[in-house]
Amino acid sequence: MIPYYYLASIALIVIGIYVVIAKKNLIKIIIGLDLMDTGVNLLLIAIGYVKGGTAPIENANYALYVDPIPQALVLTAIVIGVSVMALALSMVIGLYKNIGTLEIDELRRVKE
Amino acid sequence: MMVQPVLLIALPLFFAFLLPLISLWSKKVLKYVVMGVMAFNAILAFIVLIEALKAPIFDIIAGFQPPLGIVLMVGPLGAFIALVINVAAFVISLYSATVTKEPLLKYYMLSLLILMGATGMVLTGDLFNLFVFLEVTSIAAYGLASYNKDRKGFEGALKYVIMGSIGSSFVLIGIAIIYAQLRTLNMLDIATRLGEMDPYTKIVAFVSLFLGFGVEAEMFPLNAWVPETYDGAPHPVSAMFASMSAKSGIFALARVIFTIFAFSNYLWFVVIMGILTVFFGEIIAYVQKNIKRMLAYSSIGQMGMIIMGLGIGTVLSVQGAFFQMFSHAMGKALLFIAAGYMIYAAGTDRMDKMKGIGRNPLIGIPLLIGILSIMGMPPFIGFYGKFYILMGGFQQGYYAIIALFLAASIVEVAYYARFIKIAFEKSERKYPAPNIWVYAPLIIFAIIIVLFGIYPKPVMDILSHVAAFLAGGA
Repeated sequence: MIPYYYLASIALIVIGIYVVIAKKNLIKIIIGLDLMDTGVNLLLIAIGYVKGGTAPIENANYALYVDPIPQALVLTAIVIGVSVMALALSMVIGLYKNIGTLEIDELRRVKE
Repeated sequence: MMVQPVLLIALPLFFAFLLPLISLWSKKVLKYVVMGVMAFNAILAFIVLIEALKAPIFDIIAGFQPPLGIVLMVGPLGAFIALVINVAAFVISLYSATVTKEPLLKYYMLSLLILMGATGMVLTGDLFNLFVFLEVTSIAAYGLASYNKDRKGFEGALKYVIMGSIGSSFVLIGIAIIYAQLRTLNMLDIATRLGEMDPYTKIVAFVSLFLGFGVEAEMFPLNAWVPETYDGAPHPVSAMFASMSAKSGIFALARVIFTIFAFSNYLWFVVIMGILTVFFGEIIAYVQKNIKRMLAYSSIGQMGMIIMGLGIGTVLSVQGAFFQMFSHAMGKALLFIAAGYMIYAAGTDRMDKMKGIGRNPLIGIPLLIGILSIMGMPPFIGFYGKFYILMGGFQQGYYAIIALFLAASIVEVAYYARFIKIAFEKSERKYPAPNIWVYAPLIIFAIIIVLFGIYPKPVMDILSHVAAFLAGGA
């Protein structure tokens, strides 16, 4: 049986893609991107999980540790994700100052 | 003399964050510092290439032995593409001197960072490191794409951000799947232990990585961002996208197909994606009236040809694909620089308002050389790439693919010929003369195109290592 955390991460990724494709508001699209990022990060963390394992710090009381590499990867991925979100939101602000709308449909209409 | 390949990445990164300090002292020297750094980096890349031709270099970072530590894996082909990217970056940095819009400091920092990311993507031998460099390249590219801060720039950049971050999420999913199965991130280690992977999971991982890098490589269903981003970006930045970030994306794609997965029976998938990309690009380019959009769609078409060459997968066609990367990096950068001058001189980006703009020989001759090279005419470098891709297809007997490829090439010739006719038509209109920062890069690119077109032997010598690359080497 697939563990539930895999299902949760796949659900997050799929919801994120759906939001990006279906929503017409730029802020909502960016929220979708963030959901997708979170799903991928959850997937990475879940891969490194060992049942009953503790944090990967050397300690005489524990013998079982979770895999530290996915945690390092997720830290990097979170930093990257945050900076992309910040950049995307600042672009949305710039676009709003130029056109005065965040709806994609209206954006197309203004073009004509 | 031994040069460690990591210097190629460290030098632009170091200077990118040194620039704010230099700008405190003098703002005028910034552009010369950037040109100097890029020129020096290109020389280093050349030395690394000479070293890599003898034997692939494995540069171990921070003393951790692979497969645990991060390693740079520099084969002859990687070093070659790194050299192409660095030379293109240097020549484009000359044209960047025409950018006058503030904040110039940030422009130059981002242009060094995009160079660093693109070089790193080509050189790295670690899958997660590849992802990090992909993100460095694309975040720098997002910033540069919206540099003009007008409506077109923000729209293009926002499209790029949305597509690009979906793509990088897919890359990360692919990495996660591979790590879950093999517990390693080193490319060569993955390649040797690939047999341990579940075959269906392997396909899912391959498709995730392929689609993820496909965004950067302008592959068909994922390239909706290309025309608007190229159109909205400042002119030197469009040239950078065509010759740096797209090239590193396509090399990462080649790494995924050949070094990591060593696929041979699924390559039809890649060929079909390639041919769709070619048709999509070339046919839409034909109806464009805006010059930069036409060049952007033509760029999609050319990238499709490279993907096709990789997909056919014989030694000849992959040699053709790498040659095409070289010729496209040089030729398309030239055309974008020329287009930038034309838009400035004609005051509009519509091609039909540019009558007679090529009659100034400083612009006209390089423009003609660039266009003929992109079309694939024999004495220029564009010929060899297309020729070898076709020869590879012939060897395997893929006649239908060849026919489609040639049909798309005819469309390409048609719209470029129309453009030549407009540019060289007799006209009363006077255009302002180009300054040295415009025609110097054009002439340098034109010289490279003609030189290696007449004497392609050095490039072919480097590309003779393709057989080892296909066999899963560095």
